[in-house]
Amino acid sequence: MKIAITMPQMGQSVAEGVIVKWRKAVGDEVAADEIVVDVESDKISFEIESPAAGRLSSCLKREGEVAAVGDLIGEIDDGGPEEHASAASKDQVPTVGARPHAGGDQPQVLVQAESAGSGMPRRTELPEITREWLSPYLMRMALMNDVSMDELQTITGTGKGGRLTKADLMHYLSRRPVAASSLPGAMGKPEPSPGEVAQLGEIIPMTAIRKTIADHMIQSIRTSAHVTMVHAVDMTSVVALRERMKQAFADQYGVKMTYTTVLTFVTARVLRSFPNINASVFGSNIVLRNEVNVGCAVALPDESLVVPVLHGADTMTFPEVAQGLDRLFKVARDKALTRADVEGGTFTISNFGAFGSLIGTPIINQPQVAILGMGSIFKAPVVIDNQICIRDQIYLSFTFDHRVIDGAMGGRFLNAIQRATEALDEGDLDLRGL
Amino acid sequence: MNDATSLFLLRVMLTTRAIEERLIRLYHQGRIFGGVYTGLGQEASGAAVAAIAAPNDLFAPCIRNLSLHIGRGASPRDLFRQWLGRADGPTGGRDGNVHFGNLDHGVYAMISHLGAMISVVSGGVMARRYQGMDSVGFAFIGDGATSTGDFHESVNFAAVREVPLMVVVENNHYAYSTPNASQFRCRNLVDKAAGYGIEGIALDGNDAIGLTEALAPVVADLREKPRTVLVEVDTMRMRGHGEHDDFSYVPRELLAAYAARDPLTVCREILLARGLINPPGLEALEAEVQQAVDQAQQAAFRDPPPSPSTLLKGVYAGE
Amino acid sequence: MPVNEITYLEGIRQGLQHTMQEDPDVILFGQDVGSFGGAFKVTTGFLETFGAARVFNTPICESAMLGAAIGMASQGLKPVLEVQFADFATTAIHQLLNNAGTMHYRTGVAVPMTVRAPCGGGFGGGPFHSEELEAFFCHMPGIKVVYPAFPSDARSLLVAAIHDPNPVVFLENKYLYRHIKELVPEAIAPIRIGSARVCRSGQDAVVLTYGAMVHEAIQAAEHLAADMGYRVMVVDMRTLKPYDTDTVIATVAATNRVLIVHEGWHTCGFGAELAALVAEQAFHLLDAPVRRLTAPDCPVPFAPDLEKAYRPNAARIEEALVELLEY
Repeated sequence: MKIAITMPQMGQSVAEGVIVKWRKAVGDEVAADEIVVDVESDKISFEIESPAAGRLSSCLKREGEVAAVGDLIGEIDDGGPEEHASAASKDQVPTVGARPHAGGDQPQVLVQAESAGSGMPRRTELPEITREWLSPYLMRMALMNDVSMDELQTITGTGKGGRLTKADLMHYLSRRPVAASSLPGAMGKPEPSPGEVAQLGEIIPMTAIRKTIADHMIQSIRTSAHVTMVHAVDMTSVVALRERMKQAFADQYGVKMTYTTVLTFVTARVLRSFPNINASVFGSNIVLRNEVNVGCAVALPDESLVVPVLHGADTMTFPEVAQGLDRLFKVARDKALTRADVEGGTFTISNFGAFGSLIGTPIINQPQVAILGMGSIFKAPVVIDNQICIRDQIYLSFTFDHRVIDGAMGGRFLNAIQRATEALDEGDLDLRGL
Repeated sequence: MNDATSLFLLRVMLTTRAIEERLIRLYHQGRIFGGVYTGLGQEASGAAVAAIAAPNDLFAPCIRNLSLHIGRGASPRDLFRQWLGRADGPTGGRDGNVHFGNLDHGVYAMISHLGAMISVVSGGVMARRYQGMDSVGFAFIGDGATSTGDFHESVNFAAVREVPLMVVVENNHYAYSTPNASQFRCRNLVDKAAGYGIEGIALDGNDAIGLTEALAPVVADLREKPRTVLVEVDTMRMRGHGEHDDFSYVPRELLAAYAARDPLTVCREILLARGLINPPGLEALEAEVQQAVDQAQQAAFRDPPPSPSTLLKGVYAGE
Repeated sequence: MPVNEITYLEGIRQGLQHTMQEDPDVILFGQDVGSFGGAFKVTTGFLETFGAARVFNTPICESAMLGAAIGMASQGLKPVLEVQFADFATTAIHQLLNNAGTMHYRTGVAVPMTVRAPCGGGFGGGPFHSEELEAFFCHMPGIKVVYPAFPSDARSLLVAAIHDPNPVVFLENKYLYRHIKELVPEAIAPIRIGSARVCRSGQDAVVLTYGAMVHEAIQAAEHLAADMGYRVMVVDMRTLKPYDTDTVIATVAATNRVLIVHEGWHTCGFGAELAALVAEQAFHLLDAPVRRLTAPDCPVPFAPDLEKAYRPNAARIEEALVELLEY
């Protein structure tokens, strides 16, 4: 088998050596410990004695050539059979007189550890964490960029245990719309001190409900690009229809026939044709919702605002819509709304006409992308066929999220609502026979 | 030896004794913090070396060599400020008791580790020789310090490098409570010199005038032919290792024997005998010294301590 | 401008030569530094060039040698003491700590001395010829500690150390002596003691390191970039006391993930100091815990397999980085 002659370590800091003179030529017989080659470093010269008796089978470096410490520079063939024993590898740093590994005798653990590159027992483990663990840097970046805790929940985490990393947040922020800053603090004016405030008037702390509503409002403004379009809708025939039918309707179904009910009914059906408006936004995804769940905003006596939801409103008949809304409003006033009553909405209608307003700029109910505001119905002179007529009018104020809906679609939607509403008859409302 | 030198010796020793006795009293009165270590009874060698040495020489005094400091120009006010840790003291309150010096006078401030200053004063003398001065160095140590590694390394180093250095070993027979017999096995401490290939000289450490007369020619020779010598001076510590030590391990007869040969007594007798001073003159000198010490002590008590705001100043030079 | 390729050792030699030529107050001594040229041949030819008064051998007495250096420095000379191995500087630690480190504070006397100490392992030197002792020196008040990783820095920082009015321990990594080469101009650029250097830029993580580990870290970072696309910054601390806190904080701010690597022992190693600084002052910048990769708390072993398991290397640095980056 071949036995290696390697460049020895000639001093602690030496990195390489030079072949000075081969004392033997390839093919020559060599005795054990007989000097085979002279080498030197810049500190010292060495005579390398043969590691075995045999024949010099190869000279891999010529005289004058440089070899790194540990490099193979020649081989002795001792005439015996080849074994699996490997010569000292280049990775190991041989000391002077190092022998090649015998293979089997060596403790396997050390050899394995060496080749794995991590022989040192692990002293410290990084803490096992879950997704709830947010790093200081992440919290600070979230704070500085007005990313709420709710929003953080929506971001996918690619760190250990699914935790959010800086990269995840940065990625999310690069796709998030620029938020409007509306807080006085953000404008650079210092907030007044509590003492200063007390001098201005009576202090009424916000209730938890009001705070929640306030937060949602602000969040919504910051999330969606609110645009409001207004259409005037001729309600004359609906008004007349209601006049004719309302008593019978109430007798038959036990609930009032209201304009809110009518618009809810119409809007739910029109939404079937506008999946992009019956949509929700989650992170950077737009979800075209399978169901049409219309919520109706209700102002409660304690000044809180709830939006109970009529699930599957587009599949209901008009009486069912009326009854559904009536039940929801009653439950709402009794403050007994369940989670199912308020969750899952895909569109919202807000009737501020009840307060006398004509036009409004309603705020979208996240994560929805649009909201329809109803003003009060009023009599107005309108030109029809070049004649002035007195007609019942309503303004529909449609706010939509301009991130995902453009003006053309908004206009088409309002046109559809308008046409459907203006063409309503008994048949549409399942009122024949009443 | 001239008259002026003799009187110099007496004055230095009187001043040293007066200061140390005052420090002892202040310590007992609880008016000094930290420890008080005195060289009562060992004043002679420091005074003698101070008298012999030249202006460019360097000194590394040890614990009981206050007389060397005084002989080389330290004032009583400096000393009290140092012991009281005053801001304007020699170390600004950064170190206490006898750990101070003045390199303008060639005196190195010692550190507690015994033997450590021998190599420092050697290096200093090597530097001065390199700079063209004919300085000689004097390192003072006690019998205990001769056991340390630093003593061994430093004396060997100085011997090999032929540093003009006089190592003055004050053998006062006790290193704290350890007597010579438990400190080394040489018959005589001065025998250690042979191991380093240097000359060893043994002298009476309580006779300042005798020391001066014996060592002056040695120093002159060292100056011309740089080499290291070991001088063992026999003396006695008349108080404990520190004032907190009752030194009951020292046989009273030994103390009595050395008390009879107190350096001040020995010096006074010689000067009186030689007619260099008379009793009234002596009294006047003693009174003068006492008054200087009183004034220095009172002034030092009025001096301000260092402010905590200066704690980190001077850790590094140049900043 | 002419440039030459020099080794780390040659950089040290050039720094020493330059200062000795410029300033006759620079004295060099230690064991075997005279005609033998030093154990590592740093001072070959110095005796002939500068003479026996400025270049001389000493007996084996590190404590006395260091004391003598203090004495010389106290008189205005600039002694450079070569300790043959940093491992032997331990017998002089007392003089360094108690005398050199306190002298200016206590007496106002400056001690402009330099102690050169070859350190580090990686070639079978065993427990007493491979130690990394920077943490011991850094712990001492009044002492400065410098530890270059590149020939140019070794040269410039040695000049700075010799000119500094304080005791400076100049650590030289033995493995780097002849293993590292660099192209340098003839003129020696001044480098301030106390400045670190970003030797590889990146933004996914930063490795704070020094000595031979700088080169291991660069290797690991390059491999990681090629393999997995991560871009890892490497900072060479260069000076350990005082160290460049600004660069540490700034690079943590830029990357938010920190791996500290050193060849010295784990407990109370210099890495612990850096980790504490980061935790104190860059807490809000951390996206992952601070990690240290160091030698374990055992004496430096001799057998090649043991030493390889002991001493951090590029492969283990890469592994630690991946764990950190994926956290």
